[in-house]
Amino acid sequence: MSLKLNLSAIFIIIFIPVFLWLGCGTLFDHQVSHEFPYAYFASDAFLHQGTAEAIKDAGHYNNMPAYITGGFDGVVGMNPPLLNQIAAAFSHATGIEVYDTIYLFIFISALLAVLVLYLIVRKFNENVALLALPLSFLIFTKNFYTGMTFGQWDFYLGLAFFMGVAWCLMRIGLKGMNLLLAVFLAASFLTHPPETFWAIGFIGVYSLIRIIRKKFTMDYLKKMLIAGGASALLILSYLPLFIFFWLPTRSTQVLKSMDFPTQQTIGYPVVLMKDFGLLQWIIALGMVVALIYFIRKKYNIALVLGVYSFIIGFTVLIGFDKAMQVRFMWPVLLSIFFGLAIYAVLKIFVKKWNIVYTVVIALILLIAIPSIFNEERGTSRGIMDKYHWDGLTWIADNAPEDAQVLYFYGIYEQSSMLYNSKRMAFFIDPLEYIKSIQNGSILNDYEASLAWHGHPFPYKTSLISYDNKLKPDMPQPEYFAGRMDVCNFDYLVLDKVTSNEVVSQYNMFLRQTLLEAESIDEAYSNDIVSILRNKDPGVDCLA
Amino acid sequence: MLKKELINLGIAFVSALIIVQIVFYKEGVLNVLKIVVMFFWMLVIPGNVIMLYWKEKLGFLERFIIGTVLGAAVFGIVSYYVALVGLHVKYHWFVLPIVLIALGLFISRKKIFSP
Repeated sequence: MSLKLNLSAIFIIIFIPVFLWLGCGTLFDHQVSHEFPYAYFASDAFLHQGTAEAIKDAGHYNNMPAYITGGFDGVVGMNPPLLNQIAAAFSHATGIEVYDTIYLFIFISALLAVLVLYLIVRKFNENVALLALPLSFLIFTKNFYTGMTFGQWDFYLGLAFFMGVAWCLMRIGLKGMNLLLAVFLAASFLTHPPETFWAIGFIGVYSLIRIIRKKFTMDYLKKMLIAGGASALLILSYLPLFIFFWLPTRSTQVLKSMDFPTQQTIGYPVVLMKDFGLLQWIIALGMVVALIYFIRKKYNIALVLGVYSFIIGFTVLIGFDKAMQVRFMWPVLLSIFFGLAIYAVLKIFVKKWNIVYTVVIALILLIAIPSIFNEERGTSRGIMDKYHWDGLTWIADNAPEDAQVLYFYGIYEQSSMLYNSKRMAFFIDPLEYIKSIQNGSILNDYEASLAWHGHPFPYKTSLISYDNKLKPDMPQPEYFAGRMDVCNFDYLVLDKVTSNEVVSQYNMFLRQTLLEAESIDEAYSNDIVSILRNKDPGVDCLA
Repeated sequence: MLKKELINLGIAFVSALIIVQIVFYKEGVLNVLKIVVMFFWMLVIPGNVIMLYWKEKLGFLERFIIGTVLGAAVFGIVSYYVALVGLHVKYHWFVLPIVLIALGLFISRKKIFSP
């Protein structure tokens, strides 16, 4: 083996643990298994975890449990299945909880995307590929990181498969590579369809370049058609769901969102080039160098992929809000320009370049970049804690399957976490609750909502056709939201301790009042959470 | 050739064990072992066996990385469909890799035993 390959391999072996250490190692406090969902910061994270948990329980992705599907039975899993399916199977295999395995897979997916891109870039230039790698650490900083911590998880595995598609295009001359492309394309669709569209778009761009270079042959066209047909077959079961349920809801959002999004409009922080700090100018320089290549008609697939990834990050301006997710991985996708700029500038001064210089500089960057961009790195348990988790799992393990549970003011606004009680869950509107506290009054009923992620409710009408249990022109069932009588619920969950002392005191007062009713007893309690059981739902419990 | 592949995979496995234990140093050795063993069994090995089809054209590192991504793709797709037709997901970690490795060996059979 040559010195070049040896040094490259050694650098990769050093890079991988540093990447994992800076990412999941630090965030998870250097443990894989935790007592509760750890470092979960938003409802979307719990949505994926809850769905994977449901697959783990049921054994399949058909007929999601009613507590996830708005109380409707027979509803098919709506989210793309692959990530949740793998996480559920891995949880069974290792005995580690789904909430840990699924999160671990996100970081593995990001690492795989980095390594596949490395393979693509190194075909262009090994030095550039190695120098580019350290920039990827930025995905664990600032707004880049919110993709992981806020639960935009399907995107990362989808991107790894998109990179697989790009790699296959690079190797399309090899026999059978179009079938591999078909598998990656199908896998990206079953993981996160936006990455499939980016992949198809990239295939289009690549094909256009082949036309320009007069390399668009009938053999290539035949390979692509076979790949398209094969991937369509692989996604047949999920495709109708996407066409009849996802697309109609997405298309209205696409048409509406012509303005640059804010956190309020898309639900997570917005990534901008300024999040790269001063490194954005190195990336910009690399883009200029890439432009020189293009002017000289050198359309290397790695450079084209970099430019493409930059451009699709701006398609939000024509309404594709999922482009903002691509930006989470810009430190990876644009890293080629970073490596190219450094290499191009140093080559001006050092004519006889040696791979040793590259590895030394890459090692310096490996240390320097995390040292400079370290202001927000650390571990955090997120919004969940052991006490709330124990409360949720107590309900899952002990409450009757048809029990309905009402959650008072606490951490429950990120309502997908309530799927972990594995029962129909409702939470009180916090604003109304605060008002009643300010008025010093205990109400018999409060504005409350069902814990529901807002997706439609598809069910199978035949092998590949679906209908919606709640069609757009149908009114929402009353139990979805509205004034709800506290005494109609089977279980009532109150936080004895909250971040607000006044709320805590009110909760304790409410708890005491409820316990005075004959029909109410305390079924479970820990330092934070009190779960009251109502033995007679429907009977007045607040005298 | 097969022997060399097994040695390379073995090195990759041991490296992964060491890396994962370092990164998750607070995790018990048993859990680390389970994670790496299952990761290799479910995803890495099936994908890498399929990638043997291109062993004359692609080096080990490239086949290993792409094979791992391929393993995730193939396992995920097959697991999804097999679950829909009735095999509970709790059996997938055991059954599917056997099937996928057998499929991979069939696809790559002519390449495996060539020098």
